[in-house]
Amino acid sequence: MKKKQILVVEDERIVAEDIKMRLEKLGYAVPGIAFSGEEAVKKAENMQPDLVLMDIVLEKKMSGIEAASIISSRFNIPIVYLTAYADNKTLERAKITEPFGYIIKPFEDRELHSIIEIALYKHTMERKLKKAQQELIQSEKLAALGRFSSGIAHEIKNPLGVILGGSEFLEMKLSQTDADIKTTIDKIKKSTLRANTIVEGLLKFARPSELKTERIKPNDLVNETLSLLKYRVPLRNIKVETHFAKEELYIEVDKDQMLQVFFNLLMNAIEAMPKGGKITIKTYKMAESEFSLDKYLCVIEIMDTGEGISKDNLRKLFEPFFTTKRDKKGIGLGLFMAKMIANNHKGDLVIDSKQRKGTTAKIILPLS
Amino acid sequence: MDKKILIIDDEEDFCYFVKQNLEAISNYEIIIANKGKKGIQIARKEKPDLILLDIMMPGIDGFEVLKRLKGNEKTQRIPVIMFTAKDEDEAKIKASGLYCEDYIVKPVENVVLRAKIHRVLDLRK
Ligand SMILES: Nc1ncnc2c1ncn2[C@@H]1O[C@H](COP(=O)(O)OP(=O)(O)O)[C@@H](O)[C@H]1O
Ligand SMILES: [Mg+2]
Repeated sequence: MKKKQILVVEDERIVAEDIKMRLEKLGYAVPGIAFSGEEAVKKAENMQPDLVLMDIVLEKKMSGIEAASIISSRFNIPIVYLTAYADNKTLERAKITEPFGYIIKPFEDRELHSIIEIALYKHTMERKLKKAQQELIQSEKLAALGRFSSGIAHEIKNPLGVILGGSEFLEMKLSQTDADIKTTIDKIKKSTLRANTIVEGLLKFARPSELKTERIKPNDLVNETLSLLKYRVPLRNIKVETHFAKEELYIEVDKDQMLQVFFNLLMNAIEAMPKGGKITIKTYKMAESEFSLDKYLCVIEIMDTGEGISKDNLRKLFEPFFTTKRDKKGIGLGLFMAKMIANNHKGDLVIDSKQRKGTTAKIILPLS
Repeated sequence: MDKKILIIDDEEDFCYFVKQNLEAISNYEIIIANKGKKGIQIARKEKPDLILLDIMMPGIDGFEVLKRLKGNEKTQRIPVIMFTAKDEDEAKIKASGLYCEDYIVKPVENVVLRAKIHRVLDLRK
């Protein structure tokens, strides 16, 4: 297992070096020492250590407590305080930053070891709990949205029917008389159909449709999506390259749904490259985890050289209706649906991106 | 002789435009009923060439209307196209075991509406 990384923050060099040595003896890695609060924040951000061992009283402007509160809230890294004297006032202030432990100087190696281990363990558990909570909230939200949308669909679709019927009637009667009227009616019609697309999008996941799975090769699926794509959108100056796995991989999927997923991902890639670029599609197999090297997953990767996604947006990507393309008819259901479909196949969709460099979407599916 | 089409749908404005849009391009005679029961009565009396029938209606719904139309000698041969606002009704239409010629999901574009009506009427020629 990889050694846990610990950042030591201590303004007395000799003490710091001593702690570093003792930590290394206990089997931890100390990638750096920070001698001030400011430096600690910077190093924590760059190194992303597993834990920060922080002297409460630092000489410079920023106290250890201030530095700790920034590090724990901004980077979610657990803090263990080091202090020579534990006066109540300091401890009270330190408590606010919700530290994972205190070590009072002088201390034994054994103490150091157990307090750090407990802190690491507590932090991992907290993270797991938070994740589980979020997933629960997300799934409850979805279920509520599902009930809501299927109930409301009928109510919306009926008036849409009237608007569409009405505008088509006007179109028939008036479009010869005036070009502006024709344009206006055309816009009404288009908007009506767009509203309808949204409602239908909602309905699709309101109703968890049963999977009609078949055993197919991911490479065939990719090729089929690409040939479908050619009919629907001009690729202009976008190059598409495929690197297929040499070995025969099979996946068990609902083909229609998977085509929809790939189609959405490819459309996003194309839309991210208005001035052209390259799409690289790869299929390969990957070990399920570093612990079980005999279990494999199938990965289908779609990489583009487009505008990329900002860090902020990267977090919101899978929320329903999140879109940055509102002015270009974006609905913001593409990735939401794609992820849901992947999850329904006991797989996942992950997206990684660098702004102005490009985006990589990976569909991960169990091999069959 | 001009074909007679009966629309059974509680959404009055919707009926109005379907009627306008069909009359503008054809010589169909269009009759409208805004309730299921009324629709059945008219169907028996007028013997239309085609019935456009909404599923979701207050009172007796489209499925019940279809059942009664198909269960009566006078109306059993009249082709029916169902209107629905939900595409999942397709499954219900099939599961109901009742025979209708086709179905249309609202909102519907004129071209689709016309094409479906033509197809059903042509089949009956
Ligand atoms: N390949 C990509 N490159 C850059 N941005 C992307 C890419 N894929 C998705 N996005 C971002 O994620 C948002 C949501 O995508 P999606 O759910 O497909 O909805 P939509 O495409 O309708 O906006 C997009 O509006 C865009 O900002
Ligand atoms: Mg999209």
